[in-house]
Amino acid sequence: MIPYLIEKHNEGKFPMEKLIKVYDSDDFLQAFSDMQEGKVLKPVLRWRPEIQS
Amino acid sequence: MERGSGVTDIQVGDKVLLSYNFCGECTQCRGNYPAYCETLMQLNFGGKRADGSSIMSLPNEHDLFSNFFGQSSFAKIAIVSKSSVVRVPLATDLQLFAPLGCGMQTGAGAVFNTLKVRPGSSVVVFGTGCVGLAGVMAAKIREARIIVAVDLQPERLELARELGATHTFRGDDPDIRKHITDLCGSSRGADFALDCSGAIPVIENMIATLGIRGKAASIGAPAPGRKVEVDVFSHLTMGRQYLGCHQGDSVATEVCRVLAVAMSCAWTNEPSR
Repeated sequence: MIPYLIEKHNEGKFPMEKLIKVYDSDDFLQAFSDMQEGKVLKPVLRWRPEIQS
Repeated sequence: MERGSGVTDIQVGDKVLLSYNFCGECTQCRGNYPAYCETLMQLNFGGKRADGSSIMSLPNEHDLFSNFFGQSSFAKIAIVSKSSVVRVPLATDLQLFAPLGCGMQTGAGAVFNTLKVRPGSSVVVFGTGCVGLAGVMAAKIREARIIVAVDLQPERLELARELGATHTFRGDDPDIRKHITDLCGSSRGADFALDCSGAIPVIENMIATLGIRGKAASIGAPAPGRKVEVDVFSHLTMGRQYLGCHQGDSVATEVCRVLAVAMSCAWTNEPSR
């Protein structure tokens, strides 16, 4: 299912970017509260490359 | 990325996404229904490996509850079973597609795999969070004629419209059942419906507004033990179906379950049986 949905997204038929907001991992509390308040549908946490081990 | 000795189909340097874990050996897994793996709850919500060992521990040797959803991926590093790994093309934007592995494939999979929505049909999606909106987008891909979104938040209904909903209703509208059955016309209700709310009154609305030979699926989970009322006589005479579905019956690594069945009857206008 995942490769299919990526393909559909690339064809413009599964515009999931409209549901997503990316937060820095340090801002996870903000992501939680935005989700609870309905400000964001799908928060995604991003760990910055420079802090990855 | 590093890989364990038993992993052969993923190479270091591959780009991967993560999804749920499954054993790969039980009857359901062997039948290509890993979303119903017999040890699914233990593997995804048990907090440890199938053999009882923990993937993470503290220096004082206390084991940590780990592998939530087979991943515990809210961290810099996730140690996962090979079953959870989905290899994707190197050009894939992982940040964008990370949410596919649970909610998105669930909403879309329910439309493609579980309900097998037909072109020209009517689909009602109750609850338009991430899962429900993935269902709306999938219903549009399947060329449903009527796509109804039901929610309490006006902004989400607006987004549902942008993504493909042809009609929207507020879930607290006292005439919601009449609105849906009027809209869907000759079959006296919806051809297909999806509940992503898990709220009992909403699920009852969904079942009550199903049309003749209509098919509904529950995705949203109420607390264990909660029950819905079904008018058995209508259910029987109208040939309605009310199904449970987990992960939209999706096999995360497959292109699409229904496509994988060699373009079978499910993608024609004839309902599959």
